Amino acid sequence: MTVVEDRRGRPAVHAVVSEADVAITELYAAHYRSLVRIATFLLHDVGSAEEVVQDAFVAVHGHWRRLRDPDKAAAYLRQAVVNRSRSRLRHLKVVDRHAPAAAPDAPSAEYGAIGALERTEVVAALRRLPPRQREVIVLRYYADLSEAQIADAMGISPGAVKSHASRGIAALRTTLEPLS
Amino acid sequence: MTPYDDYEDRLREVLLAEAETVVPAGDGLTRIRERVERRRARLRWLRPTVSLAAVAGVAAAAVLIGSVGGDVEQTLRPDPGTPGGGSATAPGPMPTGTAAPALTSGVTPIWPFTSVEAAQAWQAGGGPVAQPWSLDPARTAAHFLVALDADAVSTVLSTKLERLGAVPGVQVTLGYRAAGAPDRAVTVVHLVRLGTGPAPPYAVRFAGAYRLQVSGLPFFGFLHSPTTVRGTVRDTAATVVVELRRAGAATGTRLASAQATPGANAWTARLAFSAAPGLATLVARSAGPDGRTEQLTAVPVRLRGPSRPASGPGGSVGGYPATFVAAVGGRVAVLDSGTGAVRRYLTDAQPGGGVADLFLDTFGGRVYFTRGTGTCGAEVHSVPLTGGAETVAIPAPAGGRSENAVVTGEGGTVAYTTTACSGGAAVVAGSLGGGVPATSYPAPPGHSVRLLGYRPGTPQVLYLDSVGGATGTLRLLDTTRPAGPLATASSVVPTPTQSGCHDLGATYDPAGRLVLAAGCAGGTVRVLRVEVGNRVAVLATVTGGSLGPVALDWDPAGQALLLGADGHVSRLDGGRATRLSGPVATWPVW
Repeated sequence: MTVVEDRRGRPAVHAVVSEADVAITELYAAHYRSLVRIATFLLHDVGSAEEVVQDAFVAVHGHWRRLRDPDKAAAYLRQAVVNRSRSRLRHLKVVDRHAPAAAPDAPSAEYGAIGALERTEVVAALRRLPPRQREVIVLRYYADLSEAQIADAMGISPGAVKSHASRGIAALRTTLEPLS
Repeated sequence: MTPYDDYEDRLREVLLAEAETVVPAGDGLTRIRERVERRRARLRWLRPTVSLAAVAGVAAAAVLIGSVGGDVEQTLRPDPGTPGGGSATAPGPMPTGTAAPALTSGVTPIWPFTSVEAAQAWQAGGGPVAQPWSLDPARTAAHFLVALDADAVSTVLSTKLERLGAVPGVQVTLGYRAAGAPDRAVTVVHLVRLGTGPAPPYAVRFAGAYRLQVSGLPFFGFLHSPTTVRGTVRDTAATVVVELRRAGAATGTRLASAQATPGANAWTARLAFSAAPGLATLVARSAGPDGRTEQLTAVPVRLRGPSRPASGPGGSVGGYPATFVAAVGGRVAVLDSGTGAVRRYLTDAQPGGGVADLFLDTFGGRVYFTRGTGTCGAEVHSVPLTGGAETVAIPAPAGGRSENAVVTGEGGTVAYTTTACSGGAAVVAGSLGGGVPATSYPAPPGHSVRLLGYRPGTPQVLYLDSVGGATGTLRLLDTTRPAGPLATASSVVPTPTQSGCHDLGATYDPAGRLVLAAGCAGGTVRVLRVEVGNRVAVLATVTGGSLGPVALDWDPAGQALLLGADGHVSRLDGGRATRLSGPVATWPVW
């Protein structure tokens, strides 16, 4: 517990609140960047991803009395990021319906040199996956989470994680294999 | 490893590489604090004393975390100008409608210029009047294709600003356009603007294609004759032709050409050439049954000459060069890679002036080193690897010293440090030939900087930043950034924490992975390679090492690593560390 003094030098009168602040700062240092990257994979937009992750941190701060344990808090953050990304994506889909169609260009050629091409292809294929499959692939292969952790973050059963993973990976394989 | 494992590893690698391009703005913690505070303000009438303690609490927390070091510094002290620290440097296309900023260092294009000096000479020689197309990226890209004899591909489909890695530039997509049919992109030409003054011209860095690529060959990778190059092609009916051309104005000259042998979505081609060492362009193009160019890729390579230093004057043994270079008794010496014995000296002994900070410019075939010239003085000298006169490469500034030069793999660009006798250090980036204004990045007061080398294929310089002899922090300087504080132009390199250890040196292997020398309790030096997913591979543990600076250098083929610590040189190859029994030698480089 961190000792915090108020203006009159009285120690630790608001220890619970300061503990939450310390915890948020520590969680930020440990997880913020990777959570933004996870959300970016899910949302395809860094700005939206940052907002979603910041929302999640504010929520954790609000629930700190209940969470306390940093491991629980990290799991809660992941859950919140996945859920909020889903909501944001639903909202964006509604907006997209009114947006003009993309020009028939060849955008994936933009970074078409050596390894960058493969990356562009995989990311494009990831974007084409159904949302649940995309979430599982990102949490497993980028965030390196176990099946149980993924199930917890997504609010589904471990069996469903397996099924989404195998379908997602099969779809991505068709993209990666021609590049081998 | 099963194909499935390999496939999953590749997927993991691709996602991690893509994730690296996502850089949060750096003000996340501030925004969270503000929102927490706003939320508190709404509740303040209920709990009037919470707010004050909370603000103090968050501030105290920031101080606590600030002492953890590493990557945290970047997140807690956001700097909009820092690579990775601000949205201004976030990856992705820049807004259209403005010209790309002109660069004076940090990038080596392939056409029509291969250096900033050449671009400046073109400017001074009336180039903007004679070849006004050089001032327009789309027209420059079209002229590049003419130089490659692909002038049928002349329709510019799109032009937009881009930022590839840390380098700002323009990408121009060229291809075919026909009424009633979708556009067909043939190639995307990536250009940069070079030079100074009112009319800096554009130059091509490389061209990429969607369905045709060269694989297994890094940018500026070495080619020797004969060589087999490989790649992938998405259209199995296409014929692939591979050519090797000189870089720069002589691109019209073919050095070698071969029709590729097709495979399953892949091709291989064998090229034989007898050209002198230097920069070249490897061009792969696919054509349909009608002979029309369908896809075109052009990447920079380096031609390895017969006297290329990487194989050493004594050739190659055990997959690594037979000789290396190190400082022995205040002189630059060529040593035997097997025994560590001195084969010959490249410089004479000079009373009162030793040598340090050796760096081998494999492209130029010269050894750069710091030559002590007195109590405070030092300057960067160089000597040809094959023997010859020692010359001043970077003179010392008035009232100070220049030292610790590192050169890019493709040559031409150098970074070094300057230190005033009264204190105050700076990193300077410029061109080896001079003639281009160098860019200076002053270090914070009290900081000392040791440059470790350029990150392969990038204009970023890896360095160790330390304060008052304390444990150093690894940072990357982006030399395309304008002159200004070093802390602003650089960012922290996150390194995996090893209990009881601290970083003493680092380098990149030829595949671009970070390799660290960590000094650990008990006087051991652990050599670690940072793998995909921030996993760590311990390459070797060397006992009896000191906790002073450690020099690390891979041979260009990636077969063996030299480690210099405490006056001794060790060679790491095939999973073994061999301590060489030669004289006291420091700063070993292949």
